[in-house]
Amino acid sequence: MGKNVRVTRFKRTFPGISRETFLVWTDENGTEGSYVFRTDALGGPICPVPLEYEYRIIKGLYPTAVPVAEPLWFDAAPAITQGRPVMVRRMVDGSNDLPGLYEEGAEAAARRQRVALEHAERLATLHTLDLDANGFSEFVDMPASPQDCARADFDRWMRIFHEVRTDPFPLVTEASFWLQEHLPTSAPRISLCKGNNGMGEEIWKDDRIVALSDWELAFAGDPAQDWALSQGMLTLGDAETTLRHYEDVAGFAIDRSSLDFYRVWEVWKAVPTLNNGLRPFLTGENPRVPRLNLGFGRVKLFEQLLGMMIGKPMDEAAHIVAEWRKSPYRPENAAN
Amino acid sequence: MEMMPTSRQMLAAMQLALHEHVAPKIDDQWAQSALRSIDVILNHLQARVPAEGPMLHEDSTELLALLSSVQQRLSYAEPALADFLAQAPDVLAGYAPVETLQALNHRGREAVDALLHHCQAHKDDAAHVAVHAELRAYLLKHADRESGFFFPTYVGRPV
Repeated sequence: MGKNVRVTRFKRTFPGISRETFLVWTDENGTEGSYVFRTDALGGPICPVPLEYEYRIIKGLYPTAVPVAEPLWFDAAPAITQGRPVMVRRMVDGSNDLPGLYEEGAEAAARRQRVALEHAERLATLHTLDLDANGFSEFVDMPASPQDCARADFDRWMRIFHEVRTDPFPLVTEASFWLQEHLPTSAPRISLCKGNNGMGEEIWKDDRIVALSDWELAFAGDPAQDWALSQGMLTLGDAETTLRHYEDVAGFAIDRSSLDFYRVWEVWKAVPTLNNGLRPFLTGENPRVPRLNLGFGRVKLFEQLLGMMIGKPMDEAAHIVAEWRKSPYRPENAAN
Repeated sequence: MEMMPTSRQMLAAMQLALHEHVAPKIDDQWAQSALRSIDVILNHLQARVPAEGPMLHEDSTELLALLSSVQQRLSYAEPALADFLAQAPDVLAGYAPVETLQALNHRGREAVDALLHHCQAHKDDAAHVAVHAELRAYLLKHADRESGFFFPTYVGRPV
């Protein structure tokens, strides 16, 4: 950053349980600078993916048409965080909140549909990127073919499950056998998928996405899988209108039965993802209540949910997930 | 009237104090989040503390019978199973602390997990298919037994 840089103020963003994010403002010879510092929480992140991976994803995306914050640097073990990795991006003018989005009336409903279409267009831009030309295939696990997308993701997360679980979770194992029998065997293409996306995950300004944020769960796979993790975007307006708009922009179709599968699969994946966050709680490295509630209570809730779905037809299971996601406390509703 | 307040009553009293005197005074989002998390844990403990010991005893007793039968029927030998079968009778015969029952149940479910993989690898064999069905039935019963600890307690805003 050069000399004569002085930090004038900073603020930790909420909630930041997996990783801690700080907004930092500086004075640089009379000019104000603003940056976003992101580091692992004590004991490591919840999500079992290194911070450097997220940084490399953002760095790879920055020169493309996909809107992301400018990545500035990554430090694997700086003294300021007692050796926890840090990545720094330039702050983007915008907010992850869309005030008034859930108001009553036709105007607000039309606005919600527009917001959903905006998000669909940004996902389409992401999903049509060339992974080889943009360098992602050099460090992102690549399925052998589009037909192999679901199998590759399944195998990867089974490995993670066995590495990180704090309980035998035999019911989750049993659910994996059931899901394995229903793996989709086709995909329109191998896309860079964002992982968590949708409300609460992106930076908005004037109802446009100015930066897609939070890339720790990015992967190469079936674009249908991203729609299964789109956090309220398909219920924001009319789901079919939103998906058709996406398909028009992307130039390929989303298989609705694959979408059903991935909705259920994401519940399964949430078990190892969140349970990983309990490990530093159990060792005493991070004895804080959110780790307990996410890494234990929430995981056991998802185990219960899987128990309710095992053996059911996939569309019926996906319906159970959809109903559960209508909880008034989902991020899209909490934005009120 | 009982002289000794139950654990559930004491946890509920703590929760009431937080609801009545702490929550209305808090407008910081981190503090609100911490209070939500504590509220969820207090709900969880009110469901779990009085019921966990008897639940684990009942569950592990059923597991002992199931796994003993499976070991004989499949001629199956695996360390986690042998470990559980060796320890379970003594633990379940007396009045064991909840932590001991938790550890025993954990070992039993480790054995179930290994058995599930074994059955899945032999899914063309009728004996293994039958055992697999019994294991699944046990797992669903186990989930039902502890359902009240987590559902609906942990439904809602996660942090």
